Amino acid sequence: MPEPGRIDRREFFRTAAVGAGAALFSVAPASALGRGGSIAPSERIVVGCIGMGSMGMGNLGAYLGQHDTRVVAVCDVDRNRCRDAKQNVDRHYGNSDCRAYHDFRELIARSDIDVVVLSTPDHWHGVPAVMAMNAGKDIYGEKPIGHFLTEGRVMADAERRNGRIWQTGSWQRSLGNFRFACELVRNDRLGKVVRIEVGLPAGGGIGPVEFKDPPPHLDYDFWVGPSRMLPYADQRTHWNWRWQLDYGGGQMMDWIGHHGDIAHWAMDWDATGPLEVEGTGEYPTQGIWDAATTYYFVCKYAGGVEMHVANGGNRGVRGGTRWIGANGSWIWVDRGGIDAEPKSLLRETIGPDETQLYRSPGHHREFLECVKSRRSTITPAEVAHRSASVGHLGQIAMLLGRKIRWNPVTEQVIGDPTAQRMLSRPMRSPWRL
Amino acid sequence: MRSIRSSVWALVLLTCIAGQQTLAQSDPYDALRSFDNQNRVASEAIRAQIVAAGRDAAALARVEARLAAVLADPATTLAGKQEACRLLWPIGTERSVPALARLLAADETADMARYALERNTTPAAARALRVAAAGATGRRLVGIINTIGERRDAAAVPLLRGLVRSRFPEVHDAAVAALGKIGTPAAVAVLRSRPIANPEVAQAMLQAAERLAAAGDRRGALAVLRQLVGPPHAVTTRGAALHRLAGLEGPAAVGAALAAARSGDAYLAPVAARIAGSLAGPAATRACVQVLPALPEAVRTVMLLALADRREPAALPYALQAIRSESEALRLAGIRTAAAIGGARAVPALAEVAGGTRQPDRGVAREALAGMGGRPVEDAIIAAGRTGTPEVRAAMMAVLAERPSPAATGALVQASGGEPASVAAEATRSLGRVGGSAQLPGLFRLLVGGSSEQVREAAQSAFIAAAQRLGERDSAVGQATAAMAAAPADTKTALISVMAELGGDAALRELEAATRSGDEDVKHAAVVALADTWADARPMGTLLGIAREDPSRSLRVQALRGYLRLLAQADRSAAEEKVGKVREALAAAVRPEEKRQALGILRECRTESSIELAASLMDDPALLEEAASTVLYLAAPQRVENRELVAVRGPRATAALDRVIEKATDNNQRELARRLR
Repeated sequence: MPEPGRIDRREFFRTAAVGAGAALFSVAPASALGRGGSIAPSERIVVGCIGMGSMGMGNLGAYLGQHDTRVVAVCDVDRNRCRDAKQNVDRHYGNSDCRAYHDFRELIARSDIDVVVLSTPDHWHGVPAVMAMNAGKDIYGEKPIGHFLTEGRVMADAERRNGRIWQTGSWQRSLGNFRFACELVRNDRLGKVVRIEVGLPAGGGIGPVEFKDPPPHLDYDFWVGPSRMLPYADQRTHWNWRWQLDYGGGQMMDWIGHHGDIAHWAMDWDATGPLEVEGTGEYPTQGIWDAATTYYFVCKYAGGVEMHVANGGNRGVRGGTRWIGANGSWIWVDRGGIDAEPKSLLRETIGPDETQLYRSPGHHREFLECVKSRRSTITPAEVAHRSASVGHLGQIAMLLGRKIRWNPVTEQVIGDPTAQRMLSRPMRSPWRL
Repeated sequence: MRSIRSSVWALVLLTCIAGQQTLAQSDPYDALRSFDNQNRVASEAIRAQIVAAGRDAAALARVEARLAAVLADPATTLAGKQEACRLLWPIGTERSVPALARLLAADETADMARYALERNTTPAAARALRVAAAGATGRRLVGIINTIGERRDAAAVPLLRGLVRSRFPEVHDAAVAALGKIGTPAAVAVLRSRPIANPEVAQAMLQAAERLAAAGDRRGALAVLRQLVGPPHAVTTRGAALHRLAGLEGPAAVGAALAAARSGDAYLAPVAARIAGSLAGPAATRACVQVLPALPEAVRTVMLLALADRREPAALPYALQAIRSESEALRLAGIRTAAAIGGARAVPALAEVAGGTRQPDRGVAREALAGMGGRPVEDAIIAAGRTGTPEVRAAMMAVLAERPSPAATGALVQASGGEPASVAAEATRSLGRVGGSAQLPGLFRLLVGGSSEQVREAAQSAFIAAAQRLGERDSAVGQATAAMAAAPADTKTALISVMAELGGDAALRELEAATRSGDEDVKHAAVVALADTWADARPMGTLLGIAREDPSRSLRVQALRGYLRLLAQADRSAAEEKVGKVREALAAAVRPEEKRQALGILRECRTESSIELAASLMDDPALLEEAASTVLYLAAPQRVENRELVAVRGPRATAALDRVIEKATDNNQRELARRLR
């Protein structure tokens, strides 16, 4: 039976599309009425932000800009970043009320916070997310949802079982051109889709770096957290963590939650995954960045549909997402626009009796509406997990240099214990999911 | 002779030793011993061996044995050991356990050992972890307990039973969490022995309940959940328990869910309302709708939407009631729910809201109607578009544009020729969005002969939009051209505007001819259309001619402004040529407004002639400041949208700066000119 509380949005919005700019639900959040039933001083959703790097500051700005939120806390293990974020919030509100935390556990422990905005590096997604959901927080979290595949599963389960609202930073789903492209595919404008191409950025390497003591403003041990402890270098941490498999997953894992996610949306694969994955990647042998610089892997789904994921330009795969029909027609979409062959596809309209995908009023906005209405978001954790799983499986297949077979129902690798083990990574003490 | 033989032998020996050293250096396992966390040639070579081994157990065993030897070698660096553990992570068996067990015993290597052991499924690995836990303390112990939990090692329950009594909270919490993950009846029994109000214990119990259920022990799982679902547990625990309870019991959990929904707790009540509303089945639905009216509005909203999400028709009366609520959230939930479950029956109520004035209700209702599927719904919308109040009818015309179909188009065509004008105009606008080629002639007829100005204006926009959307620009221009001769004056103005919007050779010919018309109204309309609307640079010559010679001052000004607009926006000439065109425009300009417009174009031309021309305008007191500003802008390097623009240099630029120094009344401008000079 379906999990109670789960929402079949697709079904609902087939007959009740809600457009951009639609009005907002305003069911009072916990802080509005006060836990325990007391009357609250305001109707604002109270927000705490963890991870104040570039994405964190962007998300902070988005939530400061909402009329019904109040950001009360920021957190980072880099004292400078934490200070800057606090100053940003205080400047916005014209006071000094924002609390700056070094340890995310203190922020999560605050009972007045409804929503946690999680913009930490990949290796710091799972632990705080699960902790926050267990504590009753709703979460806006960056993609990829989990640093390794089973972590994403744990996070999606935590969302569902705790009845929490989760929005992933896969914000392309909230843009009209992506939605239209997906609606065209969903409504068979290409006929049977036989091939999908997902073009993502290529990675880069680095030469030998200098290992040294971390700067005094950075708590490096905390920054490393559940991942393997490796010696500090300036090129290890801020921004560059993404190019190291211990902390990120390369450009591939960064972007699979965008263009791969859109591919899934169009194909209605939000609750499933490939059956086989096979590919190759170039992994640098020098320097501390070890994520694949170039890559190409193929995922085979039920019905024989192939999804080719590659760095853009690799074997002709164009950046963005392209669905190709059996008759050679295609639809391509990227942040730069939408294209199709034949061009007449772009003049198609989607009728009321066809599949209409959810029209988000804006990614951050949509999350807040769902926090109030308790309905699932456009990119809940399960969806994000399935999108990210494609990248994780591709990574494993490339690292092992062989085809792996996957059961998307049980989420187990079939007949390959080595690959199966690589679905999860042990965590450094004292951290656990 | 003997000494020669000895020397040769010694040489051979030395060569062999050197060879072995070379071999040793090329052996990745040896290189791994001194791994520096940067040069991964050795570890990549070992990974390549793992890849080559594939599923060949013997080949993998050889790799594992070599890695275990690396770990056992006291000369191996910590980094080397850590890397060896990483390589063992996917392939380790009992073969590497002894070496890893030794690493488990030390604080500085325990984490890396766990990295290799956690996914090692052999009993030897499990034993090593249990043995290590018995002798570990602090962070090392916590890590080992965590790994035992991840492995769901049921044999570790006796060990964990002791550890949950630890006086160190970190150890206690880790042991409790591990028991929750193990989730056997024995693990649950240990958890039950702990103070259940402790949130860590409650979380572990929740997890254990799930493990029990997964193992088929439904009764055991339910017993745990029922213990957690009510007071005195934290509302977060209760909410989570309720979710799991509903997952196991289905509709039978509705009582517990509704009790929580009525608890008055701001956290728990919406969570429970969502769960209750999601439980399918007539009994659960009956129970929900029974309590629905009595719930606080915020909670009622959540439950209503939950019922909508599972398409529960019994919720329709409450949704229609909610549409009239004082609470905005509840009203909107009512609209959405009615749209989701009501079908054609919901259309009249939704149409009324869509035709009303209250926002955001009106917009949400229109969008909801636009997304409702089915022919009966379409018929109901069309009916409301025929019989409702004018406001409702107009709203339905807008809705029909959002749900294109032959029937919708038919209704729009019919309404576009009817009364009142507000409805006809809305229908006409909608045809501009969804009409096909077959509707273009009708739209054109409305454009030239619509019953009211409102309709004619709507038809003008709609005709342009449809022709552009359908790629039928030329035929549309042809229609407009053909109609020009016989059209009354005000219609000619509209047709000229249409042609300017649509563009193309035929339209340009017609418009340029119209600028020479003896009919002053037509001529004025044509000049305005070219000056304000035309999109490419082709009519610039015509406009300049009018700007120079037309007897009407207002037309000269209009044409000059149009000429400058096209020069700025559409002309693709090189900078030098553009400056020449500005010079020509300035010769025709009499007012400072157009000269300022010309200065704006000069700012985009980084040439000496541009700066010189700008400087020449400083003689006009009305332009002194802007002209000086343009000179200074051009004489300085600029950065525009990530493009670096170099400063204009040369004798004429210097002269222009001298002129700023001499003539500018603003001290800052003079000072800046001196610095730039």
